[in-house]
Amino acid sequence: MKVLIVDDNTKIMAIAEVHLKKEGLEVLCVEDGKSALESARQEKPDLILLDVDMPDMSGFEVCQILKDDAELVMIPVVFLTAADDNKSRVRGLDLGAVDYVTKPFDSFELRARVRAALRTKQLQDQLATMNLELEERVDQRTEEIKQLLEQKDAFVNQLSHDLKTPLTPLVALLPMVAERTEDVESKKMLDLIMNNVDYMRNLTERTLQLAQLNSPEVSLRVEKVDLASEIRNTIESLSSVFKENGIEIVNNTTTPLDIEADRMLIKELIHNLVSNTIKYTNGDGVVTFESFLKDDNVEISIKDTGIGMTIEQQKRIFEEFYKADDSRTDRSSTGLGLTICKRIVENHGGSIRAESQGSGHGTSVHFTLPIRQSEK
Amino acid sequence: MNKEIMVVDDDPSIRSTVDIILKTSGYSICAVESGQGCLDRLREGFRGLILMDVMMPKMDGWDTIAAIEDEGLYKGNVICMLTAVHDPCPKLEKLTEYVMDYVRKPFTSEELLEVVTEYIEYVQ
Repeated sequence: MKVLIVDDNTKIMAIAEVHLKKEGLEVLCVEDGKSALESARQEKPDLILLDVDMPDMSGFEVCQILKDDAELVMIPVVFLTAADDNKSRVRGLDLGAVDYVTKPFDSFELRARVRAALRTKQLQDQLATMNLELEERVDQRTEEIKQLLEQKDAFVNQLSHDLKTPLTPLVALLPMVAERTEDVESKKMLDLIMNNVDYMRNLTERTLQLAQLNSPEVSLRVEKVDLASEIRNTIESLSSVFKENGIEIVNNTTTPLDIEADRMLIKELIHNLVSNTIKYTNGDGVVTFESFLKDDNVEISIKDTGIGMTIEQQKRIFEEFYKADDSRTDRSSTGLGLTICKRIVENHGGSIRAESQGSGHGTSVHFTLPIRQSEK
Repeated sequence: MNKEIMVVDDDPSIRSTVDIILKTSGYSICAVESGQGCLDRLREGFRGLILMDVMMPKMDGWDTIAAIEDEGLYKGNVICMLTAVHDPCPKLEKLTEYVMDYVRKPFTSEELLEVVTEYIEYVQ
């Protein structure tokens, strides 16, 4: 290991040099602060033994410059101070020195203090190396996980595509068979089968959609979209369903609400959220739509007077395949609708949350979308 | 005039499904399993509505359309694609003008018939 001694007193420097060479150390000697800094930059010593009292540039000044330099800050400094100079010792330590040796020094003490400082330096270096290795490993592992996730999405994508072909004869021909069947029992069985085929079809579509929303390769097709008119259109297209279910609609959104967004995805988002209010609001309910402009964002809230959610349900409602009613046998829900909503909103740089005062107290969903999409 | 329909799909169950639905509704239909088969029929003088799968081995739907155009066999026919894919493929850009519509798999018999009854009118 390499030690740099800085002292304008060449006699003391020579003595120190002899002692440190006995320790098996490589020793460099300079007589002033300017040379010390040059030498520190070029030689990168493992320790600097620095005299406080020097003409031109004091040891403190040298130390200050060392500690302000990102490349040199890690080199430990041990000050050489006068025996009766407490103030200097304190100031030196405060400036970032690791230790001090008083002059005239005891050779064993000098060697021991240098050894101790070098041990600490060594440990520090080891720690820095380990840290670097660890960071590299984390990066590597993160990359691996990213690749695995991409593979997963590609697999899900492929699987959903591949399922569509064998689903076609089922979707297309089963209703034809059912129509020709006279037998009541067979009709019942066919209904059950068709119900499940429909569910499979939904699940396939939704899974594929989610995989595509997750894929970094599929980007938004951004255009100007009027959120208010999209909401109005969705409400109109579902008006008969609202009526059948005895649900009253209150639409307080202001118009227009132009944002930059992917129209197809926004339609999907609103349709999913509105369908949910129908599903979870039993007769004589009210669904209220509100809009708010906040800085560069539009917030939409959709509030229903339906069955509401428990705290547990509120926490998990956006998870993949989570069904709020906990019934895995519910064929009307894939458990992916709200996950898709969340992904759509997040892909636009927005956020979504669902709130409820508890079971039986209705639910409100709020989503925020930025008015402008940043160029990617 | 009795207008014909050709289904081009490498999957036999899709060919049968289309065949059953369309025959039940009184159309006459021929089914081929590859782009090559489709070209052969066109060379023999087929004129009508072509329902073409996109993903097929060797020659996919887009390659087939390009070949139809190359051989000057497009005139008088109408092409609709049968597809399981949502995203447009880069090959598609130059060829969309030859495609009237898309039927997405899995399709119901109503969805298929709707497309067929609409576009068979355009066959010359």
